[in-house]
Formats: sequence, C-alpha cells, structure tokens
Amino acid sequence: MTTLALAFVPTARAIRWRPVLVVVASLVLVAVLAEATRGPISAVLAIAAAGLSSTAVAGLHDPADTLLEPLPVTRMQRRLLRLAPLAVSAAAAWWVVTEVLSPGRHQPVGPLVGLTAVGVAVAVWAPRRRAVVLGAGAPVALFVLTRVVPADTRMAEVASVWQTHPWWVLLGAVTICWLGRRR
Amino acid sequence: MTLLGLDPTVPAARTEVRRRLGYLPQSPQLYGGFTPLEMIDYVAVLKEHTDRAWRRQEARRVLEAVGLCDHMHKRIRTLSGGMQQRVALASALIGSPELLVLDEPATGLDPEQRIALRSALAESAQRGTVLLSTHNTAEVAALCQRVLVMDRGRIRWSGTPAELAAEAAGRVWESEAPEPTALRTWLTGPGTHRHVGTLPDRATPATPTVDDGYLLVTRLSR
Repeated sequence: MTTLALAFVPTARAIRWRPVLVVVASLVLVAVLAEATRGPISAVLAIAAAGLSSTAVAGLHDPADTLLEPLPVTRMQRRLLRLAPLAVSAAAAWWVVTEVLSPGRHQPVGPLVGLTAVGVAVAVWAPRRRAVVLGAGAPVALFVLTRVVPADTRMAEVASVWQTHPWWVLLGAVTICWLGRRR
Repeated sequence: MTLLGLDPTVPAARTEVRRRLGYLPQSPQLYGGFTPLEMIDYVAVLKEHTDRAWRRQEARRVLEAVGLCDHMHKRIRTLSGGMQQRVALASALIGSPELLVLDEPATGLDPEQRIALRSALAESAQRGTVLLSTHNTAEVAALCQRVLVMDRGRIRWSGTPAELAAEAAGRVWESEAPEPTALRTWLTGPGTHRHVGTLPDRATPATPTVDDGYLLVTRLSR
C-alpha cells in the first residue's frame, strides 16, 4: 500500500490533463447553453456522461507503459493509480454540469460510473496497442447506440442498461476487470 | 524454465523476478513534463523502494553512471533523443538489478554517449547479468562475453564474439568486382566489394569481423 500511496501523486502528474480540461470546459459550455435555451436536459446529461467517462478512460494511456511494464507494480495497479484522480475529476465535472443544468436538484452519478466501468473493462481486455482507444470509444459507442436504437424495444432496454441499472453494469465490469487483472 | 532461479509462471515468483530485473525497451517513451530525477524517482517507487533518501541517492548514482548529472533538473522534453535514451537506461539501472535486459540501448547515441553507455554496462556486468539485444555488431564486439545469433525467432549460433568472427575465417575476401557465387556481397566504403562464402582459388582471405561471422551464420542457416 505504501508503494501505491507514494506513486499516487507522480502518476497523477503523468496524466495528460489538457484534454480533460478541454472536454470539461466544452461540457460546461453545452450545459450553460442548454439551460439558457431550455434544451433537453436528459440528452445533455447523457452526452456529459459519455464524454466524461470516455475522457477518463482515455487518461489510462500511459506513454511510458513499455518502460514500466516489467516493474513489480503491475499494469492493473498502474491503471487504478491513473483512474483514481481521473474518476474524481470526472465526478467533480459531473457535479458542475448537473448544477448548471438543474441547480439544487440531485442527478444520479450512476450513468457516469457505469459507462466509465465499461470503458475500463474494454481497455483491460482489448488488444494492447488499441486498448485505450477502444476503451475510450466504448462509452461513446454505448451512448450512440441508445440514441439510434428504436425506443420501446428489447434492444433499446439492453442498450440503455448503463442508464437504468448502472450499478449492475459496474459490478459486471469490475468482475471482468478482476478476471483480466494480469493483463 | 526458471529465471533468476524462480518460476516466472507463478505470480509471486514473477513479482520477485520483477524486483530483481532492469529493463530498457527499444525506443522507450518517457514523461516529457518530468525531470530525469523525477522520472528515476518514480520508477524507483514502482520498483517498491519506499525510502525517499535512498531513492534520491540511487537516482543521482544512476544518472551519474549515464552522464546526466548536469541535466537532472531539466524537463525531459527539452533533452535530446540520446539524453532521453540515457534517462531510460538510468531507470533500468536502479537498484543494481541482477539481470539487466536491454533492447537496442545504443539507438540515438553519439560516439561519446556510446562510450559512456559501454562503461555503465560494463560496471553492471560486474554485479549481474546483462542481456543485450542489438543489431549493432560493434556493440557486440565491444561489450559481450557471449553471443547468441537469432534469426527468424530461433537461436542459430552461440559463442564468444571472437568465435563468431572466426566462423568467417578463410571465407571472407575482397575484390574490385561483385562475386555472384558468394553467399553475400556488399560494396564497402573505399569502393571494393566484400564477400562471404566459399573462397575462390585466386582470392586472398581478408581478416574476418563479427559482421562477417554474423552474415555467414545467418546465411548458412537459411
């Protein structure tokens, strides 16, 4: 535990934060515009969940991965080290976006958690060279799927499970990640 | 198969191997926003060295070994490619690993930097095993005690660098014109053609090099 605690700050420093800031700023801007024009809040929330989770998973990209690979701290532990500050940032950004859209009204963080978990699980199991790209693409793909699949169908129920049952999605994704802990 | 006397297929043993291993990949990427000192310190933390004072002392030692003491506080992105390569090498040297695995360590280094690299590796070889993967036969001749020639994923030959060069003894010659019967022919800097293969009657054998031995061994194995 001491090793991971010591590695937390430098790992957070090693993350590329500029893309995260750009995405967060864009989403806040979209939220402000939606609120000002009385736009569809649920759609903006879904976009925010997909955008933030995709950005958090993209932050798993580690340019020094090949150098650090044969160290005692495993790749999965390094992923978790990266994910911790990214998840906190995504949650903070989510709070800001929801406060802009509906001040004082609590919006559940579940969809953000569910999509992020799916992205991480995909990144763990995808071929190494494209792992982060595919992982970051997964939340966006799921978001698009919920939009293109006709409503009131069985397929639509499955596609929107990250919105309706996000904590089950989290549980499933964590299990998949645990099974791939040596990847 | 065992590595450092341990079975790397067992997770606990694999972690122990990782503690005793130093590794330099080909074309390693580093964090441009870190300084060499910070990068080395970070790798040391991930190698489970928790004593801060020890890490600082070790970081200075390995950076000195690769000749980067004067640049330890500069951002890595501002360093040349050769310097960045040496930062990566320094990170592999942390903790004086028993087994050092290096993939093309001399890539991007100028002659002076290569000499510094050779010194650092020779020092490491006093304490443990250095496994060098390279296409640079000059490095092989200068550094290695034992050579394994690999071709298409298989070991084709093993021995000392001198023995590898000796493989081509009496089978290397030079001429003014190309030699179609040779196993391999190439044009040298001065404009003559050098060949490996069966020495023609009229030809005078040239002094073989590690390059000649390598070419002969890999050609004969195909």
